[in-house]
Amino acid sequence: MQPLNHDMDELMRKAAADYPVKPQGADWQKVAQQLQTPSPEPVTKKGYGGLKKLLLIFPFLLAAFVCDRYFPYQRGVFEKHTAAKVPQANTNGEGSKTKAPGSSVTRPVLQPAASATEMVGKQLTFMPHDKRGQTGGDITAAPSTKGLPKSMGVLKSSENYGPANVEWKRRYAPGADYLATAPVLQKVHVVTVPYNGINNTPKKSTTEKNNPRLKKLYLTLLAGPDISRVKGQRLEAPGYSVGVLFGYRFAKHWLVESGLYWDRKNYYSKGDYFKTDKIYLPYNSKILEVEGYCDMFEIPVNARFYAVQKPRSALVVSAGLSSYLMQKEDYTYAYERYNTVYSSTKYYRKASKDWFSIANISVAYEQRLGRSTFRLEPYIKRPLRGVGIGALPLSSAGVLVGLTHPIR
Amino acid sequence: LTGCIAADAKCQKLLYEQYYGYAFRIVFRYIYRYERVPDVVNDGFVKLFRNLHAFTGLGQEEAEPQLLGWIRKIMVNTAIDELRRTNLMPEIGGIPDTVWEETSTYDNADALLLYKELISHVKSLPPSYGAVFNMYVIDGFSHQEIAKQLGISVGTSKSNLFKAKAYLQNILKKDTPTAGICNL
Repeated sequence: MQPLNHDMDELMRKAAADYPVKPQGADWQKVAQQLQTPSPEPVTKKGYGGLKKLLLIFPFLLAAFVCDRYFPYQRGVFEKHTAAKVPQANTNGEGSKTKAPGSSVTRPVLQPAASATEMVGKQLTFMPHDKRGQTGGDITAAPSTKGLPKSMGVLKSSENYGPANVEWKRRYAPGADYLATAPVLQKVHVVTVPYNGINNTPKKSTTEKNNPRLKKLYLTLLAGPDISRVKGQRLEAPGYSVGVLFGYRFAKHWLVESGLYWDRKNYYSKGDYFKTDKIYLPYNSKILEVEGYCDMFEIPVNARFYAVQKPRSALVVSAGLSSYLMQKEDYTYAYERYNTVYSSTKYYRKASKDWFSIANISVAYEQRLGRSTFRLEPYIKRPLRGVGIGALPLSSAGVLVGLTHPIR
Repeated sequence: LTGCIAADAKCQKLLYEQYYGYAFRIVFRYIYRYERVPDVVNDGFVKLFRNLHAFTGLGQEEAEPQLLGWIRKIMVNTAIDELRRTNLMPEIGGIPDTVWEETSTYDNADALLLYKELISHVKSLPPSYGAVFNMYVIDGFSHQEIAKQLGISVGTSKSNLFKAKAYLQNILKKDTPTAGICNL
């Protein structure tokens, strides 16, 4: 078989060199005309794509950090609660501020009502270590357990407790003569309760408990029409957008939201905006018009801010970035070649993935419906760079309608 | 060639006219439609003149064979681009007799007739098979180069070549049962 193949190959090569075809259609003028037109410059990619993405995400990360650091979600509740309880607890502490012996500085030192031995079996509140000394009355001895939350710790051991105020002095009056009582200090046992073990949050009202907006994690189903256009050109028939989003509330007013949309976008563009680097066109062709649609997955990452909050409704401003993962692009081209206009239809599957190429801005109106929340969200999407196989600067606008359901 | 590199239109025209027939024969093997071949050949020449400064065979003794090889490569690439543009869609309709030269006046008329038949059969292959067959058997590309150019795997390229050869052998056996052309 192999020698036969070699013979055949040789014969084919001879045939290809000498076969009698008429080489007609030579037209030097066409070639000369094409040679006079400047050749298209090769497109070089700049190497700053990754850096740009990071720079775009940075403001959101910064905002999230600042909000989490300075406006933490419900962090003030614990302090408010203890502050409210302190005056009630210090019934025997005449004057919560005393001048510590040997110290010229007035410090907020508690005078315990009784020795530690007397306090066995009675309830005490314990602050976490990092909170002590901040509120001025962080360890509270309460002669009565009435009105105190269940979260308070109970002193369990009763042996060899020294004078209780030694501990206070050691902690809050460093200039005091507590060194003389050091042996006694060794016998003092301080029972500490882990911070996480204390349920310091007050009992929420029924309204607050059921408010879906106060839940940290939620799920949203959204759908709506979508209108797309390229650089303010002609509008095509509306497409649509359907998706599911997951949200996380990390501060009282701030949330971050992401998920997955399935989008259909219809659009039209002149050939000037359609880049032909990734498509195959006949040489010396110029695209005049493109009309088509694309189906894609969209991954949005948005930061949301509760601008107005009412008991049953809210207004939320949202901004973020979207990534387009093209699944199918279908185009009808009109292109010109040697002064003749041709039409061609092509489709491309999974031709491009444009990460963080779209900026989202939206305002959502939310209305509470039982445990769920109805959402009406008009949006605008502006391109940060071209998307799809033709790198079209595709803008979109539309209205999303959906339901939000709390998860946790 | 020096004049062509210097963008001298007269030199370019001379080279174009001298090698047009050679280029045409290459492209016609790939492009089924006769009327589309001139456009592809012209596109190939535009590419050639624009990139002639990169031709390394200038001034050497065997410059012409190198130039012919260079033209062949450019024409094949241009033809493949055209095929890819049409997604390697098979063409319908036959090849009119008017595209062939009259061979009866030549000394080697029988051989030319045979060559014409062979090329007609190659052109009747599906574009994906025909492109691989042309590139590998006639134009001397490797399977790796073919795979890269056509956007297929090396395995697909080999498979297409095998099928193309089998297809041609079958046709030639039917056409010339007693011809004895190397026992094809």
